[in-house]
Amino acid sequence: MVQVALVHGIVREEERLLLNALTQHPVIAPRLVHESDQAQITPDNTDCVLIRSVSHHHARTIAFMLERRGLLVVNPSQTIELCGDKIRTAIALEQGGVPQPRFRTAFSVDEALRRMDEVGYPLVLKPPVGSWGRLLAKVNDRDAAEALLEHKQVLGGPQHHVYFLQEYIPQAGHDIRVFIAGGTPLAAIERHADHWINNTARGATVANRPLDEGLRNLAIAASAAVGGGLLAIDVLVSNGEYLVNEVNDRMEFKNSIAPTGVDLPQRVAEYLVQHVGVFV
Amino acid sequence: MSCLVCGAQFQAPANLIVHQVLSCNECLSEFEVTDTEPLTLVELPPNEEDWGQ
Ligand SMILES: [Zn+2]
Repeated sequence: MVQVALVHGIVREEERLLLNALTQHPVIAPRLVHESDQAQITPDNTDCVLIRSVSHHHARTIAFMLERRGLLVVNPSQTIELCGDKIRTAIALEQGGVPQPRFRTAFSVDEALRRMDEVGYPLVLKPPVGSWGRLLAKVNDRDAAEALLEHKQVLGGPQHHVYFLQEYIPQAGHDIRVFIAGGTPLAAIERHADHWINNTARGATVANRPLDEGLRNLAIAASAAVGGGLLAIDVLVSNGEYLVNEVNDRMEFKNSIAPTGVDLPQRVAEYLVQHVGVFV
Repeated sequence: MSCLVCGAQFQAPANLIVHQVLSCNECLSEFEVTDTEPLTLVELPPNEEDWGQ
C-alpha cells in the first residue's frame, strides 16, 4: 500500500473530498496529519505527503522540512515557493517562455510610479503573496496610483513594500482555469463574474470549458515552468491569445467537479500513486 | 446545534473530524471543530493574509 499523509490546517470541503478519494483508491492508505503533528511523518511511515495547508507560509515551510527529512512531497517546496509569490511565478513563467500579461516589479513608491507609467493605465497592482482576490487593485490612473501607494507605504508591512504590477487584460465576463496533474491537463472551467475579479471565493460562477490545443499547451508549459505537480492555472484571453495570470499550488476544486464532470480528487489520488512509482 | 454567532439552528454533518470547518447557513459565520466528542466549535478567526491556493 502507498502510505499517504495529507497535511492540513483547517479541513475544508476540498480536504474531505481528497481524503475520501484517497481512502477509496485500492492501493492508498491515507491519513490526516495536522500541521502541528508534522514531526511524526517519517520516510518509515510515509511514501508521499500531500500538502493541503491553507496558509502559504505554513505549506512551504512544512514541505521544505519534510523534503529535508527525506520525504516525497506534493507539491514540492520549490513549486509552492514559486506559485505562492506572484513575482517568482512571473519570473519562472518568463524563463519558461510562457505567455503572460506584461509585468513590472518595484521596490519603492517612486519606482512603482515610474513602472506604472511604463505599463500604462489601467493596470493591476497585486501583493506578491495573497489569494482569493484579496488586496488586488485595478489602478485606473496616476492619481489613484499615488493614493494607493501612499496607503501601502504607510499602512502596510514590509511585504507590501514590494510591488507587482500587471497590465490589465479586460475579460469578456470570464477567465479560465486549467487543472493539471504531473503535466497532464485534466479539465478546465470558465469563471463568470460581474466584478473584474473572477474568483469563486468572491462569488464567481463556474462552467465547463473544453480543453483546446492552445489551452493544453499553455498549461503544460506553465506547469513545467514551476516544476510540475498538482496545479490550477489561471488563464486570461487577450486578442485571442491565452496568457497565464496565476498558478495555484494547492488547488481549490470543489466547485469544478460537477460542471466539468471530472472527478478531480480521484485524479489527484491517481497522480500520487503514479508519482510514487507504484504501478497497478 | 445552534450558531455561536447568530443562534440559528443548524444540523452538523455526519462523520465530523477535528479541524473541519462548518458554516452557519443564516449568518455565514465559520467555525472550526475542535472536538467531536462532545462536539465543540470555535469561531474561525478572520482569514490570514497568506491564506488561499
Ligand atoms: Zn449564524
